[in-house]
Amino acid sequence: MRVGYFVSETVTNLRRNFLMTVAAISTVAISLLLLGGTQILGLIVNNVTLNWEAKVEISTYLRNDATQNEISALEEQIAQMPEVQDVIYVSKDEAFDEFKEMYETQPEFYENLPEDALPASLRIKLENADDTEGVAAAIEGAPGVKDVRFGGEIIKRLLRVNSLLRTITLVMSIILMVAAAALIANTIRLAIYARRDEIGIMKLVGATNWFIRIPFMLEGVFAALMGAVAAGAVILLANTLLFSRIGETLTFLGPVFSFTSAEIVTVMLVLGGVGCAVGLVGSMMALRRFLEV
Amino acid sequence: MIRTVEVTKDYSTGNRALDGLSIDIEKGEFVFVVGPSGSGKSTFIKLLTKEEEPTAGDIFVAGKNLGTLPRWRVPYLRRNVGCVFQNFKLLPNKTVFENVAFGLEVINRPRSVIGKQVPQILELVGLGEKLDRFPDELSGGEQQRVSIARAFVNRPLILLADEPTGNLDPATSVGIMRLLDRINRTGTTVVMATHDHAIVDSMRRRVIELEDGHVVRDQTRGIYGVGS
Repeated sequence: MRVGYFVSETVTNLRRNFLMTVAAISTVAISLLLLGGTQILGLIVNNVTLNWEAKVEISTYLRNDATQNEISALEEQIAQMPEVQDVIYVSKDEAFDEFKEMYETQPEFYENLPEDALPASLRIKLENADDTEGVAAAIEGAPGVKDVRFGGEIIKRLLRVNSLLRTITLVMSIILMVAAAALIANTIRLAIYARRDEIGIMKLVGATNWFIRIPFMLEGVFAALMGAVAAGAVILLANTLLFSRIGETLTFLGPVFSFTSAEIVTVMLVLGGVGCAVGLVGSMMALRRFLEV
Repeated sequence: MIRTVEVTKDYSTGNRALDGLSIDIEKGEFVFVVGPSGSGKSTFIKLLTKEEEPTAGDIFVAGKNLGTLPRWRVPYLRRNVGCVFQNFKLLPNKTVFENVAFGLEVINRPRSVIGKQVPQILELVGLGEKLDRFPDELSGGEQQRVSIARAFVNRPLILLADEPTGNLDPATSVGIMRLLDRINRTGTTVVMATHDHAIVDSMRRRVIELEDGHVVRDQTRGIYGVGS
């Protein structure tokens, strides 16, 4: 095939239309940077959610007269619920030890308590914090159960805020993706419009449409890829220099700013993919008008 | 080689450019198409490369019926029909060599052939020394030579020229006409639309005169016009 021609044609055109190339690359880079920013924001929101959810647990306080059989049956029953991740039995002694630890500096709180003042309990961790209420309701009133407690209103409110944040970042992602696509497509169209005479001449000399299209499309993809690389580099830099530092300094936030390399790679792939697809589709659509001679 | 049968062309503006035009041009002929502006010369040329479609009538070029020629075959038609224009239509960001080579790239000629044929044809048109210049570094006459070289480099059956001397001074025009004449002597059919009296009168070739989209005169070894 004419691979040699297409490659050298693409390189030559990119060089000779240097300003347009720079414009296209920077447009792509900025659009994709915004898109990448929302993706990172999405990751942060996700981390925050995971962080909160990890702290949500249901404490099932057991009656003092609950038999060992009742307790194991209950534990079994809870462990088998699909929403439940983990059940831990906390005996009276353990509960008292924990209490003591918690108020180490104020011994007057526990000194006068009898060792068996605190009830034994089952601590339940859920797969998904959204199920808290349902699971709690299911356990309530089971034999041996004295009381079921969970964060209640606060948790519900946090979850609501969180899902709202998720929706917002998702919507922002989509809007920015569309905006990036439109912006990139427009830049390519401008670049092609500037060279419409060239296309007309190619057609008159007897070039087939594909012959004309391929170098333009390669240029579009190249510009988009370069833009994606630039945007990706900025995000990578921000991750190593900024986010990890913030995470280290503000430890009380929890692991909100730490992303796995898989997450970062996914963001990069999304940027590269969107960039390439838009470069390709954008240049094809922009060309269609000028090829009809 | 070229035949139009009762060809009519209406533009979407309601303008009738050609009105029942029937013309026959044999292989190897050199034909001037003359007439005032708006007489239909350029439309006639554009119909022959299927750049425009006729409203009615049939057109045959190099043995192909353009009315039934599918869209994807059009590029292959154009490879048999070289085109030269008043404004040269060179690619501004390609060198002289690349502009001419382009005509060959398009028809899948290997690099080695291009490297040999392009300098050859540029030598023929007298630009053997200026391969690496860009079009805006050349004079008008030189640019037209490049565009003729591009149109002729793949040895088309037909060479169409739409006012090729329209932007050139008389002395330069004579050089261009000599070049076209030379190309015609290789057996290539040349059709040239012009309103350059001096050139038509000096060449003494077949003259087809159009007026309002009709043929009003068809004369072998003609001159530009009676009374002009």
